[in-house]
Parts: sequence; C-alpha cells; structure tokens
Amino acid sequence: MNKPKSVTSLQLTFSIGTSIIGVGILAFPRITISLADTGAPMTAVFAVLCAMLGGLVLVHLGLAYQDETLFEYADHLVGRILGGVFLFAIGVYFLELSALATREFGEVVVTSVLQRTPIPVTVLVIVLLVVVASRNDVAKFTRILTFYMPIVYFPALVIVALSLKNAKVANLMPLLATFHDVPFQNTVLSTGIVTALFQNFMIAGIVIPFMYQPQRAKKSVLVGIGLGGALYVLLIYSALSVFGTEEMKNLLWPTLELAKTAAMPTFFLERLDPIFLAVWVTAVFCAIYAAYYLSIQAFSHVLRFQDHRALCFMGMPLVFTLARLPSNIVDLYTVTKMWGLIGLTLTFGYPLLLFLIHLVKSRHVAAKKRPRRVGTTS
Amino acid sequence: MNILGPLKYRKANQNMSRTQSGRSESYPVRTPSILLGKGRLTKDLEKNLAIFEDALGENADFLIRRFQIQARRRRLACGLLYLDGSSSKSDMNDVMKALMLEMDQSSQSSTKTFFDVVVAQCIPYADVTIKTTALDASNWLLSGNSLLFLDGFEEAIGLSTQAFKERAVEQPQTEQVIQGSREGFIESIGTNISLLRKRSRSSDLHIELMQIGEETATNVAYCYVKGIVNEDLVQEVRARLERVKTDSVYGSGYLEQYIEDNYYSPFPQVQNTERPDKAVAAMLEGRVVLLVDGSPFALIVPAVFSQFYQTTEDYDTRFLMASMIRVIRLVALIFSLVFPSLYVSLISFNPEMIPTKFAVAVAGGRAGVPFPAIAEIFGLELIMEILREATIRLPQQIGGALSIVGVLVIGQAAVQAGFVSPITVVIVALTTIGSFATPAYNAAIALRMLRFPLMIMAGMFGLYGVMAGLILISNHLNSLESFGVPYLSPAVPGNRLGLRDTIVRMPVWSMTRRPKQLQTNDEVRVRNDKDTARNKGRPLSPTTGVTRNVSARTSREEQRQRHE
Repeated sequence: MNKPKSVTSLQLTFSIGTSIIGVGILAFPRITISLADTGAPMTAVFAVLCAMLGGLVLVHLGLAYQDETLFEYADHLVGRILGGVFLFAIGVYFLELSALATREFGEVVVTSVLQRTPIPVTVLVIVLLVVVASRNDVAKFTRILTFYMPIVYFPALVIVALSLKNAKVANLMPLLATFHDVPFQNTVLSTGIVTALFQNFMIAGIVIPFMYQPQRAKKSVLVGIGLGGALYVLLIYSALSVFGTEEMKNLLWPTLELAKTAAMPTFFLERLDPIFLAVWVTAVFCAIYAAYYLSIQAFSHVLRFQDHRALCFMGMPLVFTLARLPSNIVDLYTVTKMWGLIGLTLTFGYPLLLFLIHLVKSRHVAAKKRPRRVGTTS
Repeated sequence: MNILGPLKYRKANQNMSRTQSGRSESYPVRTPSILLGKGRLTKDLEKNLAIFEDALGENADFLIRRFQIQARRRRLACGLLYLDGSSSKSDMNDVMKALMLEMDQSSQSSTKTFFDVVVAQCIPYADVTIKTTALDASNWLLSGNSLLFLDGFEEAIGLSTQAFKERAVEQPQTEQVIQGSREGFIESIGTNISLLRKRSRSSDLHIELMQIGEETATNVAYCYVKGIVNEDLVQEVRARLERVKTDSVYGSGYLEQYIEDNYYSPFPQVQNTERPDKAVAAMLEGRVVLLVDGSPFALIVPAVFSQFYQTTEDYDTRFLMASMIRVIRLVALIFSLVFPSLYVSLISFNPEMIPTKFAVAVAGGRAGVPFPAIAEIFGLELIMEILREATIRLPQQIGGALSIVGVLVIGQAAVQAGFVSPITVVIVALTTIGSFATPAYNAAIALRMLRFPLMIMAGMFGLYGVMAGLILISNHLNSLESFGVPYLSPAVPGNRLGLRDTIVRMPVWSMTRRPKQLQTNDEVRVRNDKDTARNKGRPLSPTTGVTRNVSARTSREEQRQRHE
C-alpha cells in the first residue's frame, strides 16, 4: 500500500511531545507523591525512560516495515485473527482512555471554572471537537498536533517559572536518600502510573510510515518523549517544592493550585489560573485527540475499512457513555489508575511481543539464507 | 491595443453557444449562432454577405461597408464587416485608403493570385488572418474585429481592429501603498499581460490562454515562470480550468469559486490582487497567476494563510520596520477575532481576573445596562457590521461623513441612553479597527464573521468556550489545503527558511530559497547572500581608507581568477 510521504521528523517529535501532555498532568503530582513521597520526581524520570524504551521498540518495528502502520505489520507478524483480537483490545483501551480523560477534564472544568454547567455538556463539547478533528488523515493529524505544541508547553513553563517565587528547597529534601522509607512496590506503582500517562506515544506506530525520512524517527520519538517527560518532571519538581509532601496530599489537582499561586506582579490580569485552564484545554484536546484517533484507526483496521472517517461519529456516543460511567471523582481516579496500569501490558507488551516475533522471524529467514526482505513476509 | 489580437477572439471551432444540434432541437427559434454554424462561405460576395446579414443584420451595431477596388485593370467588389463602436474606425480607414487609393499595380508580382496580392502586399496592417468558415469569421467579427470579403474568393480577411474601450492604468484601489509601484491591473487582459511582461522580461515567463464560458467566451490566462514552477501545479491548474463548464464567467471571483479546494471554508484559498508587482513576485516564488478578462483582479494559486497579511510594501521597506508592522498587523488580526469574546468571558465568567480598581470601573459603566454582556456586545457588533455594510456602497463624499456620524451617534447616544456601557463601545471600536488593519479583504472578512460564533461560545462557556472555538478554527486551518499546499505552511509543517518570511520578514538577501511548500524546480533565489550582506567596502572612510578595501577586493578577484 502506498502512503503519501508528508510528515517531517520535527512534526513527529512535536506530535508526540504534544499528545503525551494530557489531562493527567493536573493530578499526577498528588498520586505519585502520596505513593513515593519525595521520590516521586525520580519515578517520573524512570517513567520517561520506560516510555523511551517502549518508543524505541515501536521505532525499530516501524523501520523494519517502513511502509506499514503498526496495525498492518502486526497482521503479518501474528496473523490476522490474533492481530485482530489484539488490535480490538487496543482500540477499546484507547477509547476508554479518551473517555476517562474527557470525564476527568469535565470534572476539572466544572469544579474550577463553570460551576453551574453540567458535566455532560462540557464533555460533549470536547468530544465533538475531537470527533470532528479525527476525520482528518494522518498528515493533517500530525499537523494539528504540531501546531499546538507551543501553546501546550509555553504556559506550563510560565507557571513553573512564576512558581519559583514560592519554592522552598526544604520541601524537596531528602534529595539523596530519595527512596528512603518508601516500599519498593510503591515506587514501581508510581512509575507505572506516570508511564501510563505517556501511552499516547503509540501514535508513532501509525505516523512513521508517512514520514519523509523514517530513519530519523528514532531521534524524533526519543526527543518527543523527552520533551514531554521533561515537562512532567519540571512540573512535579515545582509542585513539590512549592507545596511539600504533606500539603500535596490535600490538593486534588496540584498543578492547577500551582497556577493559582502564580501571579504576575504589575500585570493587567490579576489571576492567571483561568488563562492556564483555558490554554490547558488545548493540551487536553491534543491528548484525547491522539487517543481517540488511535482507537478509531485500530477499529477501522479491524473492520477492514478503507477509510476511518465513517467510524468517527460512531465512536462518539461510545466515548460519551463511557465518560459517564464513573459515579464520582474518587471512582474516576480509581478506574483511571487501574485502567492505565492494565493498559501498560497492552501498549508496552504488545509491541514487545511483535518485536520478539519479528526478531525470530527475521533470524529464521536469515538462517534459510533467503535474500533478506523483511516486510513482505505474510 | 492589439498585442493579443489573434488571441482575443473565440476559438475557431467553437460555436457561439452550446452544440448546434442540441440547440436546434431544444429551441424552435433559429438563433444566429445556428445560422452562422450552417453558413458556408462561397465565391460570391453577395452570398457571403447575405449569410452575415441574415444572422446579424438585426443588430444595430452591425455594419457592412461595400466598396470597390481597382486592380489589374478590373474592378472588384469588396465588403467590409464590422461592429460599430467595437472596431477602430481609423484603422479601418487606413486599410481602405490603401486598398482604394494606393494599390500600386506595377509592383505586384503576377504569379500569385489576386487574393494573395491583396493580403501580402496591399494591406498595411499588422494583424491579419484568413478565415475560411463562416463560424470562425463570425466569432472573429463579434470580438470587435472586422472582416474583409473580396468578390470571387471564398476566404475572408480578418483585420484585428478590436477597440474595446478600456480605462487607463491607475493606482489600485484595494491595495494602496505608500512606497512602491502605483500601477494596477485594469479590466483588459491584454493590458494586464503587458503589465506582467513589463516587470519580468524573462523568456521563461509563460502566458497561456484559454476561453471559459460558452456564451461569454471569457479569456482566461494562466501565467507562470517555466523552470521555477512545479509542473504538476500547472497541470492541476489547467485541469481545474478545463473542468469549468459554464455559460459565463464574469470575473475572477467567479472563477475562484470554481477552482478553490474547500467550498465550505470561510477562509480564502486563492489570493487575489490588483497589483502586477505582486503577481510577478508570486510567479517568481513558483505560483501560478490567473488573469480573467473583464476583471482587474488576478488570482494567485496556491495561497497560504500568511499571504493574506503580507503586503508588497513589506518588501519595499527596510526589514526591521516591515517586520514590526507585520507583527502589528497579525496582532490586529487576532484582535478582530477574539477581542469581543474575551471581553464577554472576562465580564460574565471570570471577573476575578480583572484588577479590582478596573473591575469597579467596569461595573460602574455597566450599572444601568439592562442586557447581559453577551447580548450587549453581540448587538453592538451587529450594528457595527450593518454600519460598515451601509457605508461601503455610498458615494465617497457622503460615505466618510456618514460613517463617522453614524458611529459617533450610535456609540455616544447609546451609552448615554444606557443601552451599552462605554467599555463595550471601546471594545467594538478596537475590533473593527483591527479587522481593517488586515490588507486582504477576503481574509479579514472571514475572521470578522468568525467572531460571532466565538462570541456565542464565550457567552455559553466563558474562556473554555472561546478556547474550544479557537481550537475548532485552528484545526480547520491546519487541515485546509490550497492546491495541495498546507494552509498554515511554512509554520506547520515547519520550514526554517520559510519562517523568515512568515511572521516577521528577514532581510531580502537572507531569503535565499523560494517557499519550500511550493516544491519549485529551482529553489535558489539569492545566490550570494553572505557576500552581498557582508562584503561592503568603506570607500569614503578616513581611517580604513580606500586602499585597503580596494586591495582586498582585487586580491580576492585575483584568487578567483586563479581558481578559474
């Protein structure tokens, strides 16, 4: 299948960097710090490294099958039926992921800005935005994500810079004995939870075959995850240094509180958090967009659709209903945590499985001394 | 006047209107076009003239001048057919004078036929063609040219005497500049093409002509620079033009709607300009320029968003100032889109963001106003649009006065009557001014109209709604393409060299490459950018005098020569 080559490596970098900054960025300092205390920033670093490993696996596969998406070469490697089952699972997973993100987003908006608006309305707005945008092809998909990159990163960096005023180094201590007194499984859990926020790097699997220079994909993916990861680490450090571990446990969305403490002296606007929230809508949009797009592409591949567009609107009521399932915000976070951890096996395990099969297969082919042409095995 | 004489008439094989047979079946009336299509030229002058007399004789401006010429000792009856007012009488007089008075028999060679003698030796006129069919001849005639029939010959001599009235080249009304060329396109395509030629004398400048519209047969020229433009683009433009099957094309705006990519987008995907210098610059960037007869606007394809806030003056002034002005323009553009909706969301949803003192002032201003902020500003913006639309078509003398009076009265009186708060008036004024700072009318109006849905979103969801609306708009902009070129390029997809001419404008010598998104054949625009920028002698400086620089230059030249 011929794919139009229209994505630059910079676009892939920015797309990944944008898509992994999502709704989770508001709550993750609280969750990780309650698990790993001052070791939480380090777990975030570990999570970045894990995500990079996952990304490398995807890139390696993508380079081996340069003209095929993740879904297509998965069919070659594990067969259509098994591939279909896995793919369906991935589709369902990312659909639920986007639904949970929209719900979380709705909760944030209703709690902090539009108190009297019902949650389904705010959810509906963002779902509509995503669904309309997901009708685009992959090139436009990356273009949209790339476009929002500065809008997503810049305000977060401003918040970090402004919060330095209230930062206390004592809150970060102990720096050297980071994981002192923290059970090992908590560290692992915390790492897993942050890694789960990075799962949108899977878009590399569908973008790489559309690249001008796929050989640059490795660098792009690593830098993209690194950019997003750096933002996560920066945010958790500044949140921790401002609030400390004990205060943090009382804050539902520490990053949002961070924005509230930030105020620019002698500026026209007195408070910045509504602006931060408004701009943060783009980040949420990008993350949900990436997840929804992945799931729609997966479903359309399972159902052998020529074009994913027909499915876009069909997915809408599904996401909407799934978003309404958690009964309250506590429930929501329990489900999100569980779902993210379960999904790790899928988003990291499945590419790893494919990678192993690919290795075995290519060895096998090489051993038979056939001309080595990967990508055409079926 | 006649630089395109032979090109300016309808194609030879093309009938006046739809196919003959189709017409005659559906219409009981025998239209002149059918008559002319059936007519056959013969050797008999009177029969030939009768064909035209039958078909066109009822038209008031159709005239036949019969006269006789004498040659080779015999008289020959002639007929000159022309349209009164559309043909140049003085040109025809010259021809007739040559035929009737100055035919010098002694110099005529006797080997040729008489017809050839007349054409080759006796008509002192540049544009002459031979017409062999009645249809072709009539098409020629109806383009304002004249036909000369000689008795005994079945061909007609076409004289390109077209003299449609056209206005002089004037300063363009829509794109005025302080510094720069003051020439603008006019309604005649021939003059417009000559304006292009005047600015680019390269042999690579290609101008191809086609006719669109079955009734109007409007001349459409697509111009490009061969060797620079991407051939695929030219083919696509040609294909899109050929697919236009309509009876009439009145102007470039008509054609634009036929060839644009996305009909539903509020954003223009084809740029139009009244300025020849802009058109030539676009061609040299690798774009295709379309000229439409009867319209002073040239179309430029493909168009990207950044083109709509650039002006030719940006390149004529020095780069720092040009960059600042361009940034200001962009800010104004964003103002015109989001200002009212930001105001609504701040006032109605997030008043805590406004500094306390100012918030008190705003609340004081709004104290007596009976409407919510959204209704207030929506109404006032609407009135503003009505005012703008009302004044735009008034004669200039009244228009200016009325607009000032209207805005003043409505603003001041409405505030005093307590309908609107003063700050709303300020916001609306800022928005309107912002939208007028955009050079391209069609792009400005797109953003100006989009602010209404944004206002509604702001009224419903506050800042969150504004953001959702903006995301929707920018998603649309990102997915829009004009002739396959991403609309937001060179920002997205990014191009380092292209960004030198997007939001700011870097020095002209530093823009070394043509826009990458156009995938031109010849990318390099400036060959020695570093050399022009840095190697500047200081001939009149007392300290580092002439000698050093001269010697430096000569030694460099010597080196170069040694290289070669």
